Amino acid sequence: MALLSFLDRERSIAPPGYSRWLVPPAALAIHLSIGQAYAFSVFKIPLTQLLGISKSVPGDWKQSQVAWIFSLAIVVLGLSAATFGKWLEGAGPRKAMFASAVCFSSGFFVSVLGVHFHQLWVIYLGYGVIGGIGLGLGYISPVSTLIKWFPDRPGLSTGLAIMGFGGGAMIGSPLAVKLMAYFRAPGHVGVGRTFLVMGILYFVFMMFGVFTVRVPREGWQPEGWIAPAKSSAMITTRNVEVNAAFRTPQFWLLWIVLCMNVTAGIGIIEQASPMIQELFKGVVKPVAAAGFVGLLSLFNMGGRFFWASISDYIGRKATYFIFFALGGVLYYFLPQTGGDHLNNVRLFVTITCVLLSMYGGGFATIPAYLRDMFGTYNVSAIHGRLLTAWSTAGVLGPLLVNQIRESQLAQGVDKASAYQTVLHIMAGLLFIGFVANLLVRPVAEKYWMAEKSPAPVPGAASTLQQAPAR
Amino acid sequence: MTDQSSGASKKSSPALVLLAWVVVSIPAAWGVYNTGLNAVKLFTETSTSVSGKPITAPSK
Repeated sequence: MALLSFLDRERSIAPPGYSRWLVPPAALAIHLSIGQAYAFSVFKIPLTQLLGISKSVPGDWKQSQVAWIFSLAIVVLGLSAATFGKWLEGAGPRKAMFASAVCFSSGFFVSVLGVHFHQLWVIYLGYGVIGGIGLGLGYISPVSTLIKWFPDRPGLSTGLAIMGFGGGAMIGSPLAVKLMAYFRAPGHVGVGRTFLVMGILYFVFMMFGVFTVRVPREGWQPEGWIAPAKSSAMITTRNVEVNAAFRTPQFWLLWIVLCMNVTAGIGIIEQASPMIQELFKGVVKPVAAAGFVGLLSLFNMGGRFFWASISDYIGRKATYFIFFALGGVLYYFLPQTGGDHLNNVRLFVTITCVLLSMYGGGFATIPAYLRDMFGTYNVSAIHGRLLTAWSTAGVLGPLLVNQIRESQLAQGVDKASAYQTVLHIMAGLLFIGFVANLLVRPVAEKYWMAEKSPAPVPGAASTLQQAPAR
Repeated sequence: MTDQSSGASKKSSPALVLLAWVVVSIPAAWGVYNTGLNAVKLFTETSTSVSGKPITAPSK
Protein backbone atom coordinates (compact mmCIF):
# COMPACT_ATOMS: atom_id res chain seq x y z
CA MET A 1 0.00 0.00 0.00
CA ALA A 2 1.23 3.50 -0.80
CA LEU A 3 0.67 4.70 2.77
CA LEU A 4 2.72 1.92 4.27
CA SER A 5 5.60 2.45 1.84
CA PHE A 6 5.49 6.20 2.62
CA LEU A 7 6.33 5.31 6.18
CA ASP A 8 9.46 3.38 5.19
CA ARG A 9 12.76 4.75 6.37
CA GLU A 10 14.08 5.05 2.82
CA ARG A 11 11.20 7.37 1.95
CA SER A 12 12.08 9.69 4.82
CA ILE A 13 15.70 10.37 3.89
CA ALA A 14 16.17 14.13 3.69
CA PRO A 15 16.94 15.65 0.29
CA PRO A 16 20.05 17.83 -0.03
CA GLY A 17 19.53 21.21 1.59
CA TYR A 18 16.92 20.00 4.07
CA SER A 19 17.20 22.11 7.20
CA ARG A 20 17.92 20.13 10.31
CA TRP A 21 15.91 22.73 12.26
CA LEU A 22 12.75 21.18 10.83
CA VAL A 23 13.39 18.02 12.81
CA PRO A 24 12.99 19.29 16.41
CA PRO A 25 9.44 20.56 15.67
CA ALA A 26 8.59 17.08 14.39
CA ALA A 27 9.89 15.59 17.62
CA LEU A 28 8.08 18.22 19.68
CA ALA A 29 4.79 17.41 17.98
CA ILE A 30 5.12 13.87 19.29
CA HIS A 31 6.35 14.71 22.78
CA LEU A 32 3.92 17.58 23.35
CA SER A 33 1.17 15.08 22.60
CA ILE A 34 2.27 12.06 24.61
CA GLY A 35 3.24 14.32 27.49
CA GLN A 36 -0.51 14.56 28.11
CA ALA A 37 -0.05 11.40 30.18
CA TYR A 38 1.23 13.45 33.09
CA ALA A 39 -2.02 15.43 33.08
CA PHE A 40 -4.19 12.34 33.35
CA SER A 41 -4.94 13.17 36.99
CA VAL A 42 -7.51 15.76 35.84
CA PHE A 43 -9.72 12.81 34.88
CA LYS A 44 -9.38 11.14 38.26
CA ILE A 45 -12.36 12.69 40.03
CA PRO A 46 -14.68 12.81 36.98
CA LEU A 47 -14.05 9.10 36.38
CA THR A 48 -15.17 8.39 39.94
CA GLN A 49 -18.45 10.24 39.32
CA LEU A 50 -19.63 8.74 36.03
CA LEU A 51 -22.76 7.38 37.69
CA GLY A 52 -23.32 9.99 40.38
CA ILE A 53 -22.37 12.89 38.06
CA SER A 54 -21.92 15.50 40.79
CA LYS A 55 -20.61 13.06 43.38
CA SER A 56 -19.53 9.44 43.73
CA VAL A 57 -22.31 6.98 44.39
CA PRO A 58 -22.30 3.22 45.06
CA GLY A 59 -21.16 1.55 41.88
CA ASP A 60 -18.84 4.38 40.89
CA TRP A 61 -15.14 3.58 40.60
CA LYS A 62 -12.86 4.53 43.48
CA GLN A 63 -9.86 6.85 43.09
CA SER A 64 -7.49 4.03 44.03
CA GLN A 65 -8.85 2.00 41.10
CA VAL A 66 -8.67 4.90 38.66
CA ALA A 67 -5.10 5.70 39.76
CA TRP A 68 -3.96 2.44 38.18
CA ILE A 69 -4.73 3.76 34.70
CA PHE A 70 -1.79 6.17 34.80
CA SER A 71 0.53 3.73 36.58
CA LEU A 72 -0.24 1.08 33.98
CA ALA A 73 0.47 3.51 31.15
CA ILE A 74 3.87 4.42 32.57
CA VAL A 75 4.83 0.79 33.15
CA VAL A 76 3.79 -0.09 29.60
CA LEU A 77 5.72 2.97 28.37
CA GLY A 78 8.93 1.52 29.73
CA LEU A 79 8.24 -2.02 28.61
CA SER A 80 7.23 -1.04 25.09
CA ALA A 81 10.21 1.30 24.70
CA ALA A 82 12.44 -1.61 25.70
CA THR A 83 10.62 -4.08 23.46
CA PHE A 84 10.28 -2.01 20.30
CA GLY A 85 13.48 0.03 20.51
CA LYS A 86 15.42 -2.27 18.21
CA TRP A 87 12.55 -2.46 15.72
CA LEU A 88 12.45 1.32 15.66
CA GLU A 89 16.12 1.60 14.69
CA GLY A 90 15.43 -0.33 11.50
CA ALA A 91 11.94 0.96 10.82
CA GLY A 92 12.91 4.62 11.11
CA PRO A 93 11.34 7.51 12.99
CA ARG A 94 8.47 8.12 10.57
CA LYS A 95 7.01 4.64 10.95
CA ALA A 96 7.62 4.69 14.70
CA MET A 97 5.95 8.07 15.10
CA PHE A 98 2.98 6.90 13.03
CA ALA A 99 2.63 3.77 15.15
CA SER A 100 2.85 5.93 18.26
CA ALA A 101 0.11 8.23 16.98
CA VAL A 102 -2.16 5.32 16.12
CA CYS A 103 -1.67 3.65 19.50
CA PHE A 104 -1.86 6.82 21.59
CA SER A 105 -5.05 8.08 19.97
CA SER A 106 -6.56 4.59 19.88
CA GLY A 107 -6.00 4.45 23.61
CA PHE A 108 -8.37 7.37 23.95
CA PHE A 109 -10.92 5.89 21.53
CA VAL A 110 -11.01 2.55 23.35
CA SER A 111 -11.36 4.43 26.64
CA VAL A 112 -14.48 6.13 25.26
CA LEU A 113 -16.05 2.67 25.17
CA GLY A 114 -14.92 2.04 28.73
CA VAL A 115 -16.66 5.20 29.87
CA HIS A 116 -19.80 4.49 27.84
CA PHE A 117 -20.23 0.93 29.12
CA HIS A 118 -18.77 1.78 32.55
CA GLN A 119 -16.12 -0.94 32.32
CA LEU A 120 -12.86 0.10 33.97
CA TRP A 121 -10.90 -2.80 32.49
CA VAL A 122 -11.59 -1.37 29.04
CA ILE A 123 -9.92 1.89 30.09
CA TYR A 124 -7.00 -0.08 31.56
CA LEU A 125 -6.67 -1.76 28.16
CA GLY A 126 -7.24 1.44 26.21
CA TYR A 127 -5.34 4.25 27.85
CA GLY A 128 -3.17 2.00 29.99
CA VAL A 129 -1.95 -0.62 27.55
CA ILE A 130 -2.60 0.62 24.01
CA GLY A 131 -1.97 4.22 24.97
CA GLY A 132 1.07 3.14 26.97
CA ILE A 133 2.55 1.52 23.87
CA GLY A 134 2.00 4.80 22.07
CA LEU A 135 3.83 6.58 24.89
CA GLY A 136 6.83 4.25 24.70
CA LEU A 137 7.15 4.37 20.92
CA GLY A 138 6.66 8.11 20.81
CA TYR A 139 9.14 8.83 23.57
CA ILE A 140 12.10 7.16 21.89
CA SER A 141 11.10 7.69 18.27
CA PRO A 142 12.97 10.95 17.64
CA VAL A 143 16.05 10.41 19.81
CA SER A 144 18.54 8.77 17.50
CA THR A 145 17.33 10.91 14.57
CA LEU A 146 17.97 14.11 16.52
CA ILE A 147 21.40 12.92 17.61
CA LYS A 148 22.30 12.19 13.97
CA TRP A 149 21.12 15.63 12.84
CA PHE A 150 22.89 17.40 15.71
CA PRO A 151 26.20 15.58 16.31
CA ASP A 152 27.57 18.91 17.55
CA ARG A 153 24.74 19.44 20.06
CA PRO A 154 23.19 16.11 21.03
CA GLY A 155 22.19 17.41 24.46
CA LEU A 156 20.41 20.47 23.12
CA SER A 157 18.56 18.58 20.41
CA THR A 158 17.27 15.74 22.57
CA GLY A 159 16.64 18.19 25.39
CA LEU A 160 14.29 20.11 23.10
CA ALA A 161 12.27 17.00 22.34
CA ILE A 162 12.10 15.72 25.89
CA MET A 163 11.23 19.21 27.11
CA GLY A 164 8.14 18.71 25.00
CA PHE A 165 7.10 15.80 27.18
CA GLY A 166 7.06 18.13 30.17
CA GLY A 167 5.16 20.71 28.16
CA GLY A 168 2.60 18.13 27.09
CA ALA A 169 1.11 18.00 30.55
CA MET A 170 0.71 21.77 30.53
CA ILE A 171 -1.35 21.50 27.35
CA GLY A 172 -3.25 18.37 28.30
CA SER A 173 -4.45 19.60 31.66
CA PRO A 174 -6.28 22.83 30.68
CA LEU A 175 -7.41 21.22 27.41
CA ALA A 176 -9.08 18.36 29.28
CA VAL A 177 -10.63 20.70 31.86
CA LYS A 178 -12.08 22.99 29.20
CA LEU A 179 -13.38 20.11 27.09
CA MET A 180 -15.03 18.41 30.07
CA ALA A 181 -16.68 21.70 31.02
CA TYR A 182 -17.92 22.10 27.43
CA PHE A 183 -19.28 18.57 27.15
CA ARG A 184 -20.74 18.38 30.64
CA ALA A 185 -24.49 17.90 30.43
CA PRO A 186 -27.30 16.49 32.59
CA GLY A 187 -26.40 12.86 33.09
CA HIS A 188 -22.88 13.22 31.63
CA VAL A 189 -19.67 14.40 33.23
CA GLY A 190 -18.23 14.91 29.75
CA VAL A 191 -15.29 12.53 30.01
CA GLY A 192 -16.26 10.26 27.11
CA ARG A 193 -16.54 13.02 24.52
CA THR A 194 -13.42 14.65 25.90
CA PHE A 195 -11.49 11.41 25.30
CA LEU A 196 -12.87 11.28 21.76
CA VAL A 197 -11.91 14.85 20.88
CA MET A 198 -8.48 14.56 22.50
CA GLY A 199 -7.79 11.35 20.59
CA ILE A 200 -8.60 13.11 17.31
CA LEU A 201 -6.65 16.28 18.15
CA TYR A 202 -3.55 14.39 19.22
CA PHE A 203 -3.63 12.13 16.18
CA VAL A 204 -3.75 15.13 13.84
CA PHE A 205 -0.98 16.95 15.72
CA MET A 206 1.25 13.88 15.76
CA MET A 207 0.75 13.48 12.01
CA PHE A 208 2.53 16.83 11.65
CA GLY A 209 5.53 15.13 13.22
CA VAL A 210 5.15 12.08 10.98
CA PHE A 211 5.11 14.15 7.80
CA THR A 212 7.86 16.54 8.85
CA VAL A 213 10.49 14.17 10.23
CA ARG A 214 13.43 13.20 8.05
CA VAL A 215 16.59 11.19 8.61
CA PRO A 216 19.93 12.53 7.36
CA ARG A 217 21.66 10.81 4.49
CA GLU A 218 24.56 8.46 5.17
CA GLY A 219 27.65 10.46 6.03
CA TRP A 220 25.80 13.77 6.47
CA GLN A 221 27.38 16.34 8.74
CA PRO A 222 26.37 19.90 9.61
CA GLU A 223 27.88 22.44 7.25
CA GLY A 224 31.14 23.75 8.56
CA TRP A 225 31.27 21.29 11.44
CA ILE A 226 34.48 19.39 11.88
CA ALA A 227 34.47 16.47 14.23
CA PRO A 228 36.81 17.19 17.16
CA ALA A 229 40.34 16.01 16.42
CA LYS A 230 40.87 14.84 19.95
CA SER A 231 38.09 12.94 21.53
CA SER A 232 37.26 12.72 25.17
CA ALA A 233 37.62 9.26 26.62
CA MET A 234 34.01 9.57 27.76
CA ILE A 235 32.71 10.18 24.22
CA THR A 236 33.07 7.07 22.11
CA THR A 237 33.84 7.05 18.40
CA ARG A 238 32.62 3.47 18.12
CA ASN A 239 29.21 1.85 18.30
CA VAL A 240 27.76 -0.81 20.56
CA GLU A 241 24.84 -2.95 19.48
CA VAL A 242 21.87 -2.94 21.85
CA ASN A 243 22.17 -6.55 23.04
CA ALA A 244 25.86 -6.02 23.75
CA ALA A 245 25.14 -2.75 25.54
CA PHE A 246 22.69 -4.59 27.75
CA ARG A 247 25.57 -6.73 29.03
CA THR A 248 27.88 -3.85 29.89
CA PRO A 249 28.26 -2.53 33.45
CA GLN A 250 27.87 0.98 32.01
CA PHE A 251 24.27 0.28 30.95
CA TRP A 252 23.32 -0.84 34.43
CA LEU A 253 25.15 2.01 36.10
CA LEU A 254 23.22 4.46 33.94
CA TRP A 255 20.06 2.53 34.73
CA ILE A 256 20.71 3.18 38.42
CA VAL A 257 21.54 6.81 37.65
CA LEU A 258 18.20 7.38 35.92
CA CYS A 259 16.20 5.35 38.44
CA MET A 260 17.61 7.19 41.46
CA ASN A 261 17.22 10.63 39.87
CA VAL A 262 13.60 9.94 38.93
CA THR A 263 12.68 8.31 42.25
CA ALA A 264 14.03 11.29 44.17
CA GLY A 265 12.08 13.71 41.98
CA ILE A 266 8.92 11.76 42.59
CA GLY A 267 9.58 12.32 46.28
CA ILE A 268 8.73 15.97 45.64
CA ILE A 269 6.11 15.62 42.92
CA GLU A 270 4.08 13.00 44.77
CA GLN A 271 3.55 15.25 47.79
CA ALA A 272 4.27 18.79 46.63
CA SER A 273 0.85 20.28 47.41
CA PRO A 274 0.27 18.79 50.87
CA MET A 275 3.94 19.25 51.80
CA ILE A 276 4.03 23.01 51.28
CA GLN A 277 0.70 23.40 53.09
CA GLU A 278 1.81 21.37 56.09
CA LEU A 279 5.33 22.80 56.34
CA PHE A 280 3.84 26.30 56.25
CA LYS A 281 0.56 25.70 58.02
CA GLY A 282 -1.78 28.64 57.82
CA VAL A 283 0.50 30.51 55.44
CA VAL A 284 0.13 28.54 52.20
CA LYS A 285 -3.46 27.65 51.38
CA PRO A 286 -4.70 25.02 48.86
CA VAL A 287 -5.07 27.49 46.00
CA ALA A 288 -1.50 28.71 46.50
CA ALA A 289 -0.34 25.11 46.79
CA ALA A 290 -1.87 24.38 43.40
CA GLY A 291 0.08 27.33 42.06
CA PHE A 292 3.20 25.83 43.57
CA VAL A 293 2.58 22.60 41.66
CA GLY A 294 2.24 24.62 38.47
CA LEU A 295 5.51 26.41 39.17
CA LEU A 296 7.26 23.08 39.68
CA SER A 297 6.03 21.84 36.32
CA LEU A 298 7.46 24.95 34.63
CA PHE A 299 10.86 24.27 36.16
CA ASN A 300 10.59 20.58 35.30
CA MET A 301 10.05 21.55 31.67
CA GLY A 302 12.69 24.27 31.60
CA GLY A 303 15.23 22.08 33.34
CA ARG A 304 14.97 19.49 30.58
CA PHE A 305 16.20 21.97 27.99
CA PHE A 306 18.60 23.86 30.26
CA TRP A 307 20.53 20.97 31.77
CA ALA A 308 20.65 18.92 28.57
CA SER A 309 22.04 21.94 26.70
CA ILE A 310 24.56 22.67 29.46
CA SER A 311 25.75 19.07 29.27
CA ASP A 312 27.02 19.73 25.72
CA TYR A 313 29.57 22.07 27.31
CA ILE A 314 30.43 20.50 30.66
CA GLY A 315 29.89 16.84 29.78
CA ARG A 316 27.21 14.34 30.82
CA LYS A 317 29.04 12.86 33.77
CA ALA A 318 29.65 16.30 35.27
CA THR A 319 26.02 17.25 34.71
CA TYR A 320 24.81 14.24 36.66
CA PHE A 321 27.37 14.94 39.37
CA ILE A 322 25.67 18.30 39.83
CA PHE A 323 22.27 16.60 40.02
CA PHE A 324 23.39 14.15 42.66
CA ALA A 325 25.75 16.30 44.71
CA LEU A 326 23.78 19.54 44.72
CA GLY A 327 20.50 17.65 44.74
CA GLY A 328 21.53 15.54 47.70
CA VAL A 329 22.49 18.60 49.73
CA LEU A 330 19.28 20.41 48.82
CA TYR A 331 17.04 17.44 49.66
CA TYR A 332 18.77 17.10 53.02
CA PHE A 333 18.45 20.78 53.77
CA LEU A 334 14.88 21.27 52.44
CA PRO A 335 13.03 20.31 55.66
CA GLN A 336 14.95 23.04 57.48
CA THR A 337 13.13 25.70 55.48
CA GLY A 338 9.79 24.71 57.04
CA GLY A 339 7.68 26.61 59.53
CA ASP A 340 9.32 25.03 62.58
CA HIS A 341 12.83 26.02 61.51
CA LEU A 342 13.81 28.78 59.06
CA ASN A 343 10.15 29.34 58.16
CA ASN A 344 11.03 30.72 54.72
CA VAL A 345 8.55 29.97 51.94
CA ARG A 346 10.68 31.67 49.31
CA LEU A 347 13.70 29.50 50.14
CA PHE A 348 11.55 26.35 50.14
CA VAL A 349 10.09 27.22 46.74
CA THR A 350 13.49 28.10 45.28
CA ILE A 351 15.04 24.84 46.42
CA THR A 352 12.19 22.68 45.15
CA CYS A 353 12.23 24.45 41.79
CA VAL A 354 15.95 23.75 41.43
CA LEU A 355 15.36 20.11 42.41
CA LEU A 356 12.56 19.71 39.87
CA SER A 357 14.70 21.29 37.15
CA MET A 358 17.29 18.61 37.82
CA TYR A 359 14.59 15.93 37.79
CA GLY A 360 13.65 17.03 34.28
CA GLY A 361 17.29 17.46 33.35
CA GLY A 362 17.98 13.86 34.27
CA PHE A 363 15.44 12.63 31.71
CA ALA A 364 16.62 14.95 28.99
CA THR A 365 20.36 14.40 29.35
CA ILE A 366 20.35 10.60 29.43
CA PRO A 367 20.00 10.08 25.63
CA ALA A 368 23.12 12.13 25.00
CA TYR A 369 24.92 10.22 27.78
CA LEU A 370 23.96 6.97 26.06
CA ARG A 371 25.23 8.33 22.76
CA ASP A 372 28.53 9.21 24.40
CA MET A 373 28.87 5.72 25.87
CA PHE A 374 27.47 3.53 23.11
CA GLY A 375 27.57 5.57 19.90
CA THR A 376 24.63 6.47 17.66
CA TYR A 377 23.94 3.15 15.92
CA ASN A 378 21.44 1.72 18.43
CA VAL A 379 20.98 4.68 20.77
CA SER A 380 17.17 4.62 20.52
CA ALA A 381 17.03 0.91 21.26
CA ILE A 382 19.39 1.28 24.21
CA HIS A 383 17.43 4.29 25.44
CA GLY A 384 14.26 2.22 25.19
CA ARG A 385 15.67 -0.47 27.44
CA LEU A 386 16.98 2.09 29.88
CA LEU A 387 13.50 3.54 30.28
CA THR A 388 12.57 0.50 32.36
CA ALA A 389 14.36 2.49 35.05
CA TRP A 390 11.65 5.12 34.71
CA SER A 391 8.91 2.50 34.96
CA THR A 392 10.57 1.11 38.07
CA ALA A 393 10.90 4.55 39.62
CA GLY A 394 7.30 5.31 38.71
CA VAL A 395 6.18 2.45 40.91
CA LEU A 396 8.99 2.52 43.50
CA GLY A 397 8.86 6.27 44.09
CA PRO A 398 5.25 6.67 45.17
CA LEU A 399 5.38 3.36 47.06
CA LEU A 400 8.45 4.48 49.01
CA VAL A 401 7.10 7.94 49.72
CA ASN A 402 3.68 6.78 50.85
CA GLN A 403 4.90 3.79 52.88
CA ILE A 404 7.54 5.82 54.73
CA ARG A 405 5.10 8.60 55.42
CA GLU A 406 2.39 6.27 56.71
CA SER A 407 4.91 4.47 58.86
CA GLN A 408 6.08 7.75 60.36
CA LEU A 409 2.55 8.95 61.05
CA ALA A 410 1.67 5.60 62.63
CA GLN A 411 4.58 6.07 65.02
CA GLY A 412 3.13 9.37 66.13
CA VAL A 413 5.49 11.63 64.18
CA ASP A 414 3.80 14.91 63.24
CA LYS A 415 3.04 15.56 59.59
CA ALA A 416 5.71 18.21 59.07
CA SER A 417 8.44 16.04 60.58
CA ALA A 418 7.33 13.00 58.54
CA TYR A 419 8.38 14.82 55.38
CA GLN A 420 11.91 15.17 56.77
CA THR A 421 12.42 11.40 56.83
CA VAL A 422 11.18 11.03 53.26
CA LEU A 423 13.38 13.84 51.98
CA HIS A 424 16.43 12.52 53.80
CA ILE A 425 15.87 9.10 52.24
CA MET A 426 15.62 10.77 48.83
CA ALA A 427 18.98 12.39 49.57
CA GLY A 428 20.31 8.90 50.29
CA LEU A 429 19.02 7.65 46.94
CA LEU A 430 20.86 10.47 45.24
CA PHE A 431 24.04 9.38 46.99
CA ILE A 432 23.57 5.94 45.40
CA GLY A 433 23.13 7.66 42.05
CA PHE A 434 26.30 9.69 42.70
CA VAL A 435 28.33 6.54 43.25
CA ALA A 436 26.86 4.86 40.17
CA ASN A 437 27.72 7.90 38.05
CA LEU A 438 31.21 7.99 39.52
CA LEU A 439 31.78 4.40 38.43
CA VAL A 440 30.87 5.04 34.78
CA ARG A 441 33.90 4.47 32.54
CA PRO A 442 34.35 4.10 28.78
CA VAL A 443 32.89 0.90 27.40
CA ALA A 444 35.43 -1.90 26.91
CA GLU A 445 36.59 -2.74 23.36
CA LYS A 446 35.14 -6.22 23.49
CA TYR A 447 31.63 -4.73 23.25
CA TRP A 448 32.33 -2.57 20.18
CA MET A 449 30.81 -3.38 16.85
CA ALA A 450 33.19 -4.21 14.01
CA GLU A 451 34.09 -1.13 11.93
CA LYS A 452 32.24 -2.38 8.84
CA SER A 453 28.45 -2.31 8.79
CA PRO A 454 26.78 -5.51 9.92
CA ALA A 455 24.22 -7.22 7.68
CA PRO A 456 21.54 -4.61 7.02
CA VAL A 457 18.24 -4.87 8.82
CA PRO A 458 15.68 -6.16 6.29
CA GLY A 459 13.82 -3.33 4.66
CA ALA A 460 15.97 -0.58 6.13
CA ALA A 461 19.17 1.19 5.17
CA SER A 462 22.12 0.82 7.47
CA THR A 463 22.14 3.45 10.18
CA LEU A 464 25.76 2.84 11.11
CA GLN A 465 27.82 5.97 10.74
CA GLN A 466 31.49 5.75 9.88
CA ALA A 467 33.57 6.84 12.84
CA PRO A 468 35.00 10.25 12.05
CA ALA A 469 38.76 10.43 11.50
CA ARG A 470 40.52 11.42 14.69
CA MET B 1 23.14 23.81 7.75
CA THR B 2 23.20 21.78 4.57
CA ASP B 3 24.92 18.54 3.68
CA GLN B 4 28.41 18.71 2.44
CA SER B 5 27.96 16.80 -0.83
CA SER B 6 28.60 18.71 -3.99
CA GLY B 7 25.88 19.35 -6.48
CA ALA B 8 22.81 21.46 -6.48
CA SER B 9 20.86 21.48 -3.26
CA LYS B 10 17.62 23.26 -2.60
CA LYS B 11 17.76 24.77 0.87
CA SER B 12 14.69 24.57 3.05
CA SER B 13 12.75 27.82 3.01
CA PRO B 14 13.32 29.83 6.21
CA ALA B 15 9.60 30.56 6.16
CA LEU B 16 8.89 26.83 6.25
CA VAL B 17 11.24 26.35 9.18
CA LEU B 18 9.59 29.24 10.99
CA LEU B 19 6.13 27.84 10.26
CA ALA B 20 7.11 24.46 11.66
CA TRP B 21 8.26 26.07 14.89
CA VAL B 22 5.11 28.19 15.08
CA VAL B 23 2.94 25.08 14.72
CA VAL B 24 4.45 23.50 17.83
CA SER B 25 5.08 26.73 19.74
CA ILE B 26 1.48 27.90 19.79
CA PRO B 27 0.06 25.00 21.82
CA ALA B 28 3.19 24.92 23.97
CA ALA B 29 2.90 28.64 24.69
CA TRP B 30 -0.80 28.22 25.52
CA GLY B 31 0.09 25.48 27.98
CA VAL B 32 2.88 27.50 29.57
CA TYR B 33 0.57 30.54 29.79
CA ASN B 34 -2.15 28.55 31.58
CA THR B 35 0.40 27.03 33.92
CA GLY B 36 1.93 30.41 34.59
CA LEU B 37 -1.48 31.84 35.50
CA ASN B 38 -1.87 29.01 38.00
CA ALA B 39 1.66 29.43 39.33
CA VAL B 40 1.06 33.11 40.10
CA LYS B 41 -1.49 32.04 42.71
CA LEU B 42 1.41 30.88 44.87
CA PHE B 43 2.40 34.51 45.24
CA THR B 44 -1.06 36.07 45.35
CA GLU B 45 -2.87 33.54 47.54
CA THR B 46 -0.22 33.07 50.22
CA SER B 47 -1.08 34.70 53.55
CA THR B 48 2.14 36.68 53.75
CA SER B 49 4.49 37.85 51.08
CA VAL B 50 6.91 35.33 49.63
CA SER B 51 9.17 38.13 48.48
CA GLY B 52 11.76 37.20 51.05
CA LYS B 53 10.49 39.14 54.00
CA PRO B 54 10.77 37.08 57.16
CA ILE B 55 7.59 35.34 58.14
CA THR B 56 6.94 35.21 61.83
CA ALA B 57 6.70 31.65 63.04
CA PRO B 58 3.27 30.96 64.47
CA SER B 59 3.30 30.52 68.22
CA LYS B 60 2.96 26.89 69.25
